[in-house]
Amino acid sequence: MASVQIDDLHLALGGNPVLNGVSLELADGECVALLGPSGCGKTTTLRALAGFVRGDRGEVRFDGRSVDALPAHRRNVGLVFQDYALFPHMTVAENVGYGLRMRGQSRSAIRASVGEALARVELSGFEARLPAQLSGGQRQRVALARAIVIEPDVLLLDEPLGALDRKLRDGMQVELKRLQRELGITTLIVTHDQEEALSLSNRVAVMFAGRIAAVDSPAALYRRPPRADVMAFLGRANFLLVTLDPAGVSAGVETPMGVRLRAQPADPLRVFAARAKAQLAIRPEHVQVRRASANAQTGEFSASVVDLIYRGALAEVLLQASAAGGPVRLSADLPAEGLNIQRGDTVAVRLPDEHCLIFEENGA
Amino acid sequence: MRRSELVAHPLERLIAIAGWGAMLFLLFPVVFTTVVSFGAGELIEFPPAGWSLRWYAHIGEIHRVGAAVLYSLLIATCAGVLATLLAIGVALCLVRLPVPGKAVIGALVTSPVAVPIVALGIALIQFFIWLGISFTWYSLLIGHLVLVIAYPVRTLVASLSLSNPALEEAAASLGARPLTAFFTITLPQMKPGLISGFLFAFLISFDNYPISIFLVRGALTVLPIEVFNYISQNFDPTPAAFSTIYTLLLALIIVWAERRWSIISLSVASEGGPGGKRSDR
Repeated sequence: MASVQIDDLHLALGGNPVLNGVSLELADGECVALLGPSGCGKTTTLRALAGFVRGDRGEVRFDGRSVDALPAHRRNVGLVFQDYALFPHMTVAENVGYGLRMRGQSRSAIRASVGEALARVELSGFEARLPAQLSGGQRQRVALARAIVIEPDVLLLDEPLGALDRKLRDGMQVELKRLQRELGITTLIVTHDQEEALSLSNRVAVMFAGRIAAVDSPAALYRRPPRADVMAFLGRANFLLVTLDPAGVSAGVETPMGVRLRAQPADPLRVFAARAKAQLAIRPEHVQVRRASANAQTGEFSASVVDLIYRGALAEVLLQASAAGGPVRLSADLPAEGLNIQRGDTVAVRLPDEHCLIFEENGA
Repeated sequence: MRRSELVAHPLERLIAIAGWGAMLFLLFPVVFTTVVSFGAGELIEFPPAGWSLRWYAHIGEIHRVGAAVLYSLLIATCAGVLATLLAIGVALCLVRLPVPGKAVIGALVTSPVAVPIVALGIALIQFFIWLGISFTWYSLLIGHLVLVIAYPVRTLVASLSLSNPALEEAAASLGARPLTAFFTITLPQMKPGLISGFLFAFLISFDNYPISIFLVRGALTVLPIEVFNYISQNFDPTPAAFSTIYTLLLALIIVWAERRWSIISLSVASEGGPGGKRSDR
């Protein structure tokens, strides 16, 4: 086991810059999810850790020692590929034992370790099967067993649940988490699925355009993202253009719907100019909606229900409010049970101050 | 919808008839030869007046048939093995390496009809004379090699394109050196391509007349030449008996190899040419 430091990694592939100064640290035994849209460089970062590509600039260190000069086969990194990359001509036992064979272990030692690894992923008894005879979920477990049996310093998972269907994903998610906790291997999970990232890791690093945009615990990153684009990528969010009070951001913001809110800047150190334009963001689950009544309360504004999208436990309510400079659209997640509003209704909407975040106007 | 169904139906029938017609046309020589080989008469007749197996016993009468079989086996085996080994390198280059102009190289190497065989034969003769190499079994082997290498290249390119490059990375991440990864992972993935490539090369070489006739001198001889010589001097069904056995053996080998390694689908899969399907990362 080892800690990992990625230090200002730059890399261009075929003339295109892919990594533009990636810096990320993983503490020994920590599980970090690297989350980003496709093409953001997250897989390339993983490949740089594995030793398949080398940065043009910057450094990768395991336990403080540079591994840039080490080829992939000497890095002791466990890797689970997105498509698992099981050796099709080898049985499950041969697949899992391959890394131990390369380390020159004896047959009996290999057999024992393979049995143990397969037991860990609950695949005992599958030793003699070929990958083609396994289901997707089973292949995933074999790939995992093959990666952990070599007792790697670092475990790299490339979209580990991407190829599984919904139900299997939920099961594997729990199991991956259990395994990571039990083994305590430093783990990097590369994913574009924010739910996967939030649920599997101790920390989430959000990556855009070859750079790490934000790193924090899943809860902190979800609740208080430092940047608007991070907030938009991690779950859903409503964004509104607002005007800051002349007395400064702490004095409140003027929304286009006419209500004033006392929202907090996402970055407490950020200084906003008075009367500046800014972005206000709020998660749909924090938008409060109630049926309009005659006695409107302060802080509420009225909106009409444009559509209702049923999502099981929640219903997403699409709202349209009239505002200065054209109507504003918002979405609100409400418990589906006991929902007493319908399309076309007029409702009273409140954006609670404590859930509103202020970002710079340009999105950063 | 209904209109197009009405139009399509007779057309489909026509295509089916044409297909069956073509198949019969292709099969006819085989059927003809097989039937003729069982004839009792001194001359080739179709259909034969009487039936006999005596022409099968007569195969040994073909001039130097023993030596010709041995030489043909030697040349075909060597050509098959060498072509397959060379093709491993070519296929690896074409599929895995960023070689400039690889589409052109691939098209040239994988297309045995790119150069007419007569031109190839003449070129080989002049080449050997220019080099001062005597016309013996190894110059014939070189000639056959040029002719047959396209087949293993084709099948190996196909099986390499079908195999996942991530497998080698997986092997590397598990601690395999590049050469170990090649022998334990890449080469086994190429196995169907190796087998079928060798088989095609072997059979094309074993069967070849035009290149051999250019390059065979003196004591050296190969089976197709002796069979042809026999036909040009005799008109009995002995060559038909020989052909029947040969066709049967060939069919058995191909059916067995197809069942085991689906070699035919592999050689069809390579039609797109090297680098056609897989996009490089």
